Amino acid sequence: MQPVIALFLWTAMLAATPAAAQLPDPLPSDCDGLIDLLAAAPAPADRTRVARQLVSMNLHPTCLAEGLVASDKLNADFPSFIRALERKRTDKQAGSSAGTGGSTNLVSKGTTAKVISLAAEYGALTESINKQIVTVQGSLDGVPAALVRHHVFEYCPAGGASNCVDGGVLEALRRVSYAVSFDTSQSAQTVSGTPSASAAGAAQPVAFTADGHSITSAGVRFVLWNARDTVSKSYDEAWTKEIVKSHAALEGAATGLLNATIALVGAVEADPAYAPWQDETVQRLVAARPNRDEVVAVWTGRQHVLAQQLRRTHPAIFVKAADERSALSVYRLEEDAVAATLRKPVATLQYDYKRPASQPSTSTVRLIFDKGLGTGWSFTANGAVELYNQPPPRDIPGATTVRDAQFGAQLQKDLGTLEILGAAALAGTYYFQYQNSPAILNVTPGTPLDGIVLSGLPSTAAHVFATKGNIHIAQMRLVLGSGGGARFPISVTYSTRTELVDQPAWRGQIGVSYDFDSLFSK
Amino acid sequence: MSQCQFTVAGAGDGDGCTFRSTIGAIKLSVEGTVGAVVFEKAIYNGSALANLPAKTIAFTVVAGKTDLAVTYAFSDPVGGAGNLIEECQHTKVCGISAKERSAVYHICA
Repeated sequence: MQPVIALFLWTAMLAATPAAAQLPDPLPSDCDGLIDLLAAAPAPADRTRVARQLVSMNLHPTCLAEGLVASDKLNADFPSFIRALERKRTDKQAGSSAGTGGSTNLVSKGTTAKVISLAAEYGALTESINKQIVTVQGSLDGVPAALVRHHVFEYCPAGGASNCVDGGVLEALRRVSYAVSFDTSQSAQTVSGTPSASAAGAAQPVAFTADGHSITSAGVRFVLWNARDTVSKSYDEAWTKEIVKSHAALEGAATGLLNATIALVGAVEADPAYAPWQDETVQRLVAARPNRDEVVAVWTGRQHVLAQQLRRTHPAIFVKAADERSALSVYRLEEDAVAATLRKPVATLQYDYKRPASQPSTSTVRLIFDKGLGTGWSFTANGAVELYNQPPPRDIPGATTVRDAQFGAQLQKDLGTLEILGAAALAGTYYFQYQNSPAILNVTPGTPLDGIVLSGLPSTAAHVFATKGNIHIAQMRLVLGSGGGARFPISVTYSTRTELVDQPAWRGQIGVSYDFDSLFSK
Repeated sequence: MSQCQFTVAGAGDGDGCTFRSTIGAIKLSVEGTVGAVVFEKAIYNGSALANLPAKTIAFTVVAGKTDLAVTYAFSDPVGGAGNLIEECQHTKVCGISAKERSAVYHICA
């Protein structure tokens, strides 16, 4: 009987004793992970080991800083940095959209500058007259990100806190960009005069009216779909490849964080009260019941005790803790900014309101598709419909509200950094425009149109229109980057006709743009 | 395979050492368990280590108690985690987490 009883007792003992959870090797470094282990570890030796790790504040300075700041109710604010990376990108569109008159862009891209960019371009694509257009672009996340970088708001990637810029909100704002184009041509501003009263001798009183079209178009873009894949192995590989490149803003933020960490940890460890605090905290944590609430209560109380002890000997310790949090906030913003460059827009919706000089205003809705093809190749396609904002005059044959439909496709190859030319990209583009309604010009008798000579018009003519015809355009475009935020697009196009002239034409376009993202990073 | 230098200092030793080490050249790397991780910046014994950011750092441990201060970057900015590894025999010496982007390790040799 005895062996049977012994076996029974042994089996019962095994069933009653829960299997001791084995501690991970190595132990985690963060406070939350260690508190979880303390709450789950029943063996005193294990609890002592985990508690020792928890009170080694040099391993988790953020936990130390948060405890001190919470204890002191000190509010942190945050320093500055940005994107050297932005300077190297050749996939951003800085100039105006096709159809604004002065542009080198036959297709639109989904990416724009974060803060602001300025582009001046000369030429024409579908239009018959060359124009000089200056375009200002930016995206909505630029302003709050700049506020974080300039100490106004804290950055909280996971959200949930008040008085800080939520990472999710920033990501949403990053999807929306805007553009305003200014026509700097002479024709953008005309002043007309008509007699306002009868002449008195050789003097004639005249009433002047101005027709200003200096703002020739305004547009907004919304990224519908981002290439966002943060969990796959291929994303990790792409991220590692990107992060090990030199990013001046991230490096600056890392240096700031490292210096703040060393200063904080050094000051705390040098305090004579620190080692006794560690020993007593270990004892109390080991004595606490293995229950998360109790462990958290003990730990929170002991953090407060440390803060009170340090306050007596190092009143400036709370400033150091705030500095660490502040430096960490900027570091995380810069880290996220590098990751954001890997999330390229795939599908983007764009709306443009255009009011070119001497033409009826139009609205264009455009769908943009961008796709990286690897090894520096990328493909962009656009489809758009352009509508007259007002129904065109009935006496123009074939004129309807739907002005035209457009399609463009571009294949681009990043050429890397060339020895003489700097960062460069070469693109080949095909563009097709189905002209559903004739191109219309508004005319005022006696007021000349810039670049257009009309002869033999009756004095009652208010509109002139061209013959309809589909437009095919082929373009080769070279974008050169200086590496300092400036880019120089140069293109040559062949078109089967333009909106007004039914004849083939070879033409050239040139521009210069400056991306202020790199400037705002300083 | 080279001989390892680091041992994790025992709990309660009271000297504040994170690692005990022999004197000489050492190579450390980081390995992500959740997402990827790299050394963004590192300072050993007051001198910044070169060739960063990278997954590996190398330096020469000198006698006495010295500090290795490190900043990590994580591909998963919220849940990222990994291990600090001594290259010798791929020995895990410390856990790392996206919740703690920086740390100061005390090396006693």
